[in-house]
Amino acid sequence: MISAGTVCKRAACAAVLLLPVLVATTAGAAEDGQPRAAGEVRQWLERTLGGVERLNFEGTFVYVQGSHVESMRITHGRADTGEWQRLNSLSGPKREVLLANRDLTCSLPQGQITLKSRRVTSFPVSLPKDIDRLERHYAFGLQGEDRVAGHEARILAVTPRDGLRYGLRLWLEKNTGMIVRTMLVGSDGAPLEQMMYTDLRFLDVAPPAPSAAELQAAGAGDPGSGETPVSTVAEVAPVAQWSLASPPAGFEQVQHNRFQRQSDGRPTEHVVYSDGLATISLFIERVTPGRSLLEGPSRIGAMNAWGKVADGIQAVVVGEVPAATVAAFAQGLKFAPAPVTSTATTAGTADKTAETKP
Amino acid sequence: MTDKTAEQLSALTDGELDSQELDLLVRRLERDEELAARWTRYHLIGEAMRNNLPEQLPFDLTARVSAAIAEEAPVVAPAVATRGWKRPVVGLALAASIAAAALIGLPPQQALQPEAGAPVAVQTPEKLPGAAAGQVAQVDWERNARLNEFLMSHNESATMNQMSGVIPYARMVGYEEER
Repeated sequence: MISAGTVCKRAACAAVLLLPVLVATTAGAAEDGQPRAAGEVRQWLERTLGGVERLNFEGTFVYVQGSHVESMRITHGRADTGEWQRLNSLSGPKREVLLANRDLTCSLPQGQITLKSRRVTSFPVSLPKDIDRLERHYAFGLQGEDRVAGHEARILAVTPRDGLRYGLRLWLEKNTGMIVRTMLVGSDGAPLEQMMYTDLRFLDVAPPAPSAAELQAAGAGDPGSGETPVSTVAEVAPVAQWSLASPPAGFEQVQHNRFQRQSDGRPTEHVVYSDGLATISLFIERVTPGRSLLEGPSRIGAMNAWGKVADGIQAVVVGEVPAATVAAFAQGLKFAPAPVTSTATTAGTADKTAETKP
Repeated sequence: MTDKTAEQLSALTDGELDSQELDLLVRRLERDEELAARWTRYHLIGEAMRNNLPEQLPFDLTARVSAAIAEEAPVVAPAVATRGWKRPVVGLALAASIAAAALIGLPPQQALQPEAGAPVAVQTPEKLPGAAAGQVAQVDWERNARLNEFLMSHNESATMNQMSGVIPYARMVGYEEER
């Protein structure tokens, strides 16, 4: 794997050579090995990663997870103030998710809730470097054509090169590269989670953006709603020092938040790792007396979690990855309460991080 | 709560209480909020175990969620109307998890689906009479709520990955619903 990665990096300027090289060095890859195909895959990925946020569209999609089926209306627009998106549930209780001004507001039957975004930037899925990185851990292959919500689509199969991550099939709309159907696939090939548009209209004119009043209601919500947003991790005292002995191959730290829970001011470290496709969160909190602890494996839907408690610290690893991956992650995790004055440190995937971080 | 009361409660939940006992217990339930909360919990768990929950639960979920959030303890609180609820999120996570747990009504062992081989206390409604059993249920409930907090935060981060498309948003909303 590492040699493939190295080759991959060196060959970055010659994209068409990339996949054949990987095919030659990786057992089990399923591409046809034609340079033309590799170049085409890359083009599709670049379009998908590059352009969707600029689109104006509205549509309806279904979300399926196990026996759970949900139908949602989606409107996506590009306004002067930036990208916004609205999701309305069409089945079950009325719920709405509004993403605007980088804040996420959920209107639920119980009331309205705003998650003040802590995001500074999107994940560093920058092109083309991160496609190289993705290709170390996933094999990409085009699998024919299909129609989704009346639109012609190309099927892109993303097959993991090891058992540490799930596979993915993406249906990409032909003109825009937009993901119009997704299937998360387990190691046995069975779908774990699916999303598919049943209706999709691209709009020439941006749909009416959320009104100022609505944005104010959403964004203002409550001062300090939910988690206190923190612009730099230095603003909240570190919870713990931690290190990862050997994180699952390919997962690199992409984000580190530290925030306080509104309820009790409980500081939480939130470190996000990604292999470019799958995401794993590491949460670290002090154990609060009287609160239940999370230890060992849990699963909700397609997500797996692993809790670990020691030395007065609760760590929880969560991600849309196989149980073995969160387990391995947790096993390699060492942590101790942070000294009062020092800053938490992260020991990461030293070599790989250095190699691929922008 | 005495063992006897717990047994009665369990019997009530299962519809096995004779009319005299029923009358007494119902009157106690009216006065004793803790008992009422426990009964609601048993009832939910029982219905969920039997896969019987209607889409809309026949009592004031909003009030229960609000009350639970106010107390920041994921227990089923008695139905006391709370107006002007605006306590984001401890939040979204807690509200979502309680609503999920309630709407879904899944007992923790179903909602969490631990991996095979994991030590899990499997409680059936028939085996819930003792106070100890009630505690197990409550601990698992809290555990579920806590896990959901983390899941919500995780999904919020996952939305930043362009390759995920709308799935993380769908997951967030999905937590509100039957799972």
